[in-house]
Amino acid sequence: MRVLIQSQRFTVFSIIDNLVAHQREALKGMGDEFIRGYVNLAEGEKDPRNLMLTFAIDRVLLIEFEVDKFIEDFFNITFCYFPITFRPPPNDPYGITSEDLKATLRSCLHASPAFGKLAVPLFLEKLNAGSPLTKKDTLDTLDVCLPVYGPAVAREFARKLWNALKLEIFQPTDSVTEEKSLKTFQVLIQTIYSTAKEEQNDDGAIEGLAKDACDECMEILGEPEKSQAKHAIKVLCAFMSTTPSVARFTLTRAVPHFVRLFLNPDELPNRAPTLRLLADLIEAARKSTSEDPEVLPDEGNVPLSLYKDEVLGILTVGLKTPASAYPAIDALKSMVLTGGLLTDEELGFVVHNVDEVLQKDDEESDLSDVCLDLLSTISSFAPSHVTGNTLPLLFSTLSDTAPPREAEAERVKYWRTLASLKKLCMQPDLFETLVVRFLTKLDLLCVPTASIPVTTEEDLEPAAAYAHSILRTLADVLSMKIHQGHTDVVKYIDRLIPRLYNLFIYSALVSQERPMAATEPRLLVVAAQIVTLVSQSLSVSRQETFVKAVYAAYFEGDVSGLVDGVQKIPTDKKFNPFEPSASTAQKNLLVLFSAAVVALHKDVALPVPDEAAFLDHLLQWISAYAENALQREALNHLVAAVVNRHADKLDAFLSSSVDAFWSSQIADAAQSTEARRHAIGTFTWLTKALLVRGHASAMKNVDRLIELFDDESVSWDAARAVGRIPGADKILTKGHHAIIKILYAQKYTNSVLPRIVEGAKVSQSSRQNAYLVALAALIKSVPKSTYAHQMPSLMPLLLRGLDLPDNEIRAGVIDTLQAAATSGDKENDAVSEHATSLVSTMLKNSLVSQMPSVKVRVAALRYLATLPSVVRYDILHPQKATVIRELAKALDDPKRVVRSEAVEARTNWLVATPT
Amino acid sequence: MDQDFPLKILPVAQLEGHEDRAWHVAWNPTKPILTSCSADKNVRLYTYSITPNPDAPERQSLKFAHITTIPTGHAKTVRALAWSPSGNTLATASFDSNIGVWAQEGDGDGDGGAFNPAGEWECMSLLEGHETECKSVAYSSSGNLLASCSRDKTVWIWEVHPDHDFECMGVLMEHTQDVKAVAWHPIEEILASASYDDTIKLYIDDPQEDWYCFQTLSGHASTVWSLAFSPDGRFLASSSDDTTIRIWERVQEHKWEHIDTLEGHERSVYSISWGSGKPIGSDDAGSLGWLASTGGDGIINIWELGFGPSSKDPSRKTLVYRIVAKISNAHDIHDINSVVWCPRKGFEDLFATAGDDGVVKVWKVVPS
Amino acid sequence: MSAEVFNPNPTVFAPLKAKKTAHSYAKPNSIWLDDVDRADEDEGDFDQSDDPEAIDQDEIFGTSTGSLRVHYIELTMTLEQLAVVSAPQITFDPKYPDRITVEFTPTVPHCGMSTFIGLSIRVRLLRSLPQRFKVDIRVKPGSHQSEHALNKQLNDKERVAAALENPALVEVLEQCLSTAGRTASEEEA
Repeated sequence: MRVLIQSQRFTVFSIIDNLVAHQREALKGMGDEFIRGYVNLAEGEKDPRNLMLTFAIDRVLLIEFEVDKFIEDFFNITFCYFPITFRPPPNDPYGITSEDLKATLRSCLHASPAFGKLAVPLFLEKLNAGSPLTKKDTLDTLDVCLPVYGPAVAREFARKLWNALKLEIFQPTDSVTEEKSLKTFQVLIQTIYSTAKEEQNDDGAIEGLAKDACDECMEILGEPEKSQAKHAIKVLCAFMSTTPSVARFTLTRAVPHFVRLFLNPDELPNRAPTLRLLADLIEAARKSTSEDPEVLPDEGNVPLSLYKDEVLGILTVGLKTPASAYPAIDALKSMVLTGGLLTDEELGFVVHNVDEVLQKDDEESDLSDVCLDLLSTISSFAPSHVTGNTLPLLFSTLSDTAPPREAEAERVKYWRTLASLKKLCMQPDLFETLVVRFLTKLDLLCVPTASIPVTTEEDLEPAAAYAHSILRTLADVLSMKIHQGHTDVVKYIDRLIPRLYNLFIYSALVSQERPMAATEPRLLVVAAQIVTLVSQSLSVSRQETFVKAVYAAYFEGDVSGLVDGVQKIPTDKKFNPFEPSASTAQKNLLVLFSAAVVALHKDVALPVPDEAAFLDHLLQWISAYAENALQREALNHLVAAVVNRHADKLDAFLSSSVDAFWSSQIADAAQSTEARRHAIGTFTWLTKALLVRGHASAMKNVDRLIELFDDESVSWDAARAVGRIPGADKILTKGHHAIIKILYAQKYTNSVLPRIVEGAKVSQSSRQNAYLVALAALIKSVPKSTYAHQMPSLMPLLLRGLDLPDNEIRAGVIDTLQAAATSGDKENDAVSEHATSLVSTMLKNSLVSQMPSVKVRVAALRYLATLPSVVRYDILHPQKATVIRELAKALDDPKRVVRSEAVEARTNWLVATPT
Repeated sequence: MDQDFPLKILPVAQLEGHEDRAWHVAWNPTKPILTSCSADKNVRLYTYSITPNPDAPERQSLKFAHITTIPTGHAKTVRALAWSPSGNTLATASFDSNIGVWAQEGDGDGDGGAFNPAGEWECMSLLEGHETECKSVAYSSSGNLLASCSRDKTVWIWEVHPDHDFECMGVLMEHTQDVKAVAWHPIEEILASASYDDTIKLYIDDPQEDWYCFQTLSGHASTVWSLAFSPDGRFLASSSDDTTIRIWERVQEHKWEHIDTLEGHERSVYSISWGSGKPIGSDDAGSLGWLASTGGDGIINIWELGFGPSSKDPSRKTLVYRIVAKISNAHDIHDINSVVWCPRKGFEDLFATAGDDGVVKVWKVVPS
Repeated sequence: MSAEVFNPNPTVFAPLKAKKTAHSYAKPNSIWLDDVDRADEDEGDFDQSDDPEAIDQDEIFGTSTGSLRVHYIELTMTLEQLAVVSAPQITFDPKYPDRITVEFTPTVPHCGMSTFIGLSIRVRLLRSLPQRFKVDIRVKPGSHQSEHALNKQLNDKERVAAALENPALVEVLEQCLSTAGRTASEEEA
């Protein structure tokens, strides 16, 4: 065989492989002669292609054939390859990987239990002397081999294996090897104890390795505060998922030990580490029992049940000191989640104790976060304890009146309570309570009692701020609920939304006579989010009813279908926010109109006779009557949403009305610059709405904007608009049922970017700058992948962008450069090419003496910090001394956030050396 | 507050160019050359010239210009420099544990040929022997001996032979810790060394035997960083991490005693230099010259020292001293590692400093 | 540094949790809850005011010394976890605000890693503090058998400079320092 070349040997093995597959019985009939012959052929084979075959043959022979007397021969022709160190040559045409060989060999190694006595010593040798890679391979192989080799072999080598594994566990070189060693130890214990009744003495106690290893760990756990304890507990945790008897035995030893330690007055300082270890163990025990959530163990059949009273006892004591409270809460969480462990009454006990911690935690630590996490875990399956116990406690700390301006402590207190409620009240029952309580609170805060006389000096801002926080909390919880697909959101179109409209419409109408807190725009903005969140969850038909009610109120003054609440809308005042002469407070309510429309499905028809006329009216209204950014933005969103859904039916509007809007409001230089800017904003939204749905007229609008680059007074605004059109926004989203075509940003960039690059090259300086502004805005708003391949040609332009006298643009450009540099792609050539000027520009932008904007300084320093890892050292070397010296100045920046970036950047440059 | 002193220190030149901390400066004793060394492993050479001002001779202006940089080839920091008394040879002490000896081709021991310091400086000899960082190097007044010291706790004495050949005359292993500095007596062949072990050792050559230590001066509470003999050789000054400067007097041929302690610094005094100065007033009979001191506090003090009647007991003569000029933050926020008076005649009021900012500065002491 | 085991089973301390202040809810001097949606429209998270923020204990501890790691035998722990350093052990000279003393506490009085730990603190501070600061590093009085020698060594700038030109030492130092930057704080976050 040795004289044959590889391909011939391959043919020989292929023939044998075929025979084994198809003529197995005949070969078996040949008896020892075949086996002996085969072993002879296979011995000394080195070629990976052939080995893939022989390993496969070996496995069949080992399993199917009578090979007992040849076991040593088979050991020699298989184990001699372990561990596989083969590395395929580059461009290997056969495609055999090291992993293929490893897996195939491994299937031989555990093909026969008879290998056990021969194999384990070899594995031990590899474990004790091997490289980290060999160790990992050996551990993985042991995991599959030990169960096959069986308990007898496992017992024989138990001590030696444990000693080898112990080293990796207690003095780990890396976390992977450590974990693999724990896993192998688990397999070892499972193998030894899987069948063995004889390892238990009469009263069920465990003997042998599990007991010895457990004893060793218990000894170490006598000092829970020391670092070795962390390793020892990992071993015990591994025991939890071996066999039930070993797990039970371990708990019997460890849990009472920790309870004793905890209660020992001499060990008082070590309570926190003791509970940490106990928590780890309880969590491991939980994981071992909860693999099948459907099958709950019988009450009392959970191994931990025996000790639950003592454990609950020390955990509730542990809750009372901040340091030990963290592990105590972790342990409680694991207990709560252990199926069948705690009774409902005990859950109530836990909630009660955790509530106390929550109440007492005025330390402002994140202890309350973990408390809330535990409570919300409990509320997910036993909400009654939390609604009955925790919520009333939290609500009782929320006062009915706003703390005055100077009472910051009071304010922080309600912020904290609201933050707690936000974390806790996702669960439907809890959320329902939250909505009811909050609505009452909002009425109390925002509606003055009739008996109080009108005073002009009354400071309403604290009440507004308080109400704002409450609305913010509602919006945040709703948003999380929608994110998690909660279906109960829908019902709040009846229970929450009419109350909000009532409050805000009432306040706007009454505010003609007295100041009202709920006319504050910030409240409106959050309320609008709530309206949209609920509206987006509705079905088409429910949206239709809702939007009809909204239109009736806003256009006909008939609020009856929209509002519901204690305060009766005054009948003597007319609600007509679209009336040009309407009060600011009423006009501001357009925010809540827009909010109801921006999340409509495309199949929902607007309750207007002519959508084009309606839109035209809106465009005119924005230009003529909108008083502030709030109103303009609301209507811009509204126009964008409607155009996005119904553009296919709006051809006439999109040509003539938009043309008219363009020429009268934007192109006409006689308009004030401010008016033109606002109109460009509206135009941007309109174009955005068309672009995302892939409508052809979007690009026509962009052409118009580019024409404005020559118009000194609005060129930068037009340029920013060109960049921002493809940017993601919060209105035209999938969640709001907008029509969005994939890759619209890519297509846009493909079409616009070349024009920008071209334009920045040729035109004169003011127009050139507009192109740079457009570029900066564009790359900030589109995904990097859309322009990454263009980086080499963009780089010189971006560098010029860094000289523009606009800090926002500079920061944006640096962020882009940063993203490009860290992508690790071929654009780095562009970085290297421009490294010298990049370094000097960034240095200029990082020193407070030359750059007043914190944001730019931070961005520039971050960029400098990245350079040494993406550009070859020899390119940077000439500037190293300068960079180190200049950055030393940035270390003394007046702003902390800048200093910390400077430290990072300077360190990276200091350690940069030729590779 | 600097105005309270009779003299003031004026900046003359600010010489930038090192890319890392500057450790030491050395004036050529015969030619208008100033050299500095740095952690950047380079030695920089500067020349200076006087532009006379015929109207006011005292207001002549000094111009310094960089002429060349020697990339020493030392693998680590160049810590210290020393010019031979002839001014033809420069020695460098490096953390790479070697001493380099530099000169210009064809400029052997004689003074033949035109002197062109901007030309190439070659490493004529590399003195190997120290096991770890060399920290100081010094030529004896005759130029026949060279001393070096190191963190390896030893002081080596080399005899200078023609053609830049050096022979080791002795290895002195007296200190128990790093030896920070060596200094030769200005007239006799007496060597002093200062150490991290807080002591100063004095050595002479026994004609029968080898070099040996004849006295150990103790008293400093911490590392002794720097040594300076008075120009007349009767006194020795030492500066220390304990922030003080001690003055030792030669009371017998081989016996030195502590006579006073100067306190005027807040942090380690890394460097002192004792020059003849231009004493104030006409009566300079008892003058011992000017001592400049500097260190980690960034302050430069100029002390005027003299030997005159004691204020307590005018019948007894004692050391009298006062600070005559002072400047703070002389290198901005940085430590100052070295201060050296110009040894050339007519320039007694000129000194140079080297700082952690990598800058070398030249200063002049003038009446306030 | 050395395979010798100085303290094979050191006590591990949990890092102190940061306190939440009003500013974690609102922008400074505002009675309004910080609104997420509004924050990203303006200047982002940056406080644009010109009020300088002086460098204090906590900053030096946070960006410099706290996150330094040492390799105790095979264990890797931060100096904070081992309670070797803490913010209160960083003190400013009341007379000269630019002079700082950083004190550290070796885990055991015979800890042979102390020089190395002190050196790594020194190097980290050299890299991260403005140069105007003059730093003295000391072991906590009574915490080490060679206290005087250690203090003297760590504050000898010449020895420190020479040590930093020793490639073998620098390699070990860099390991210790490499995780001290941003990556480490993110790992622990």
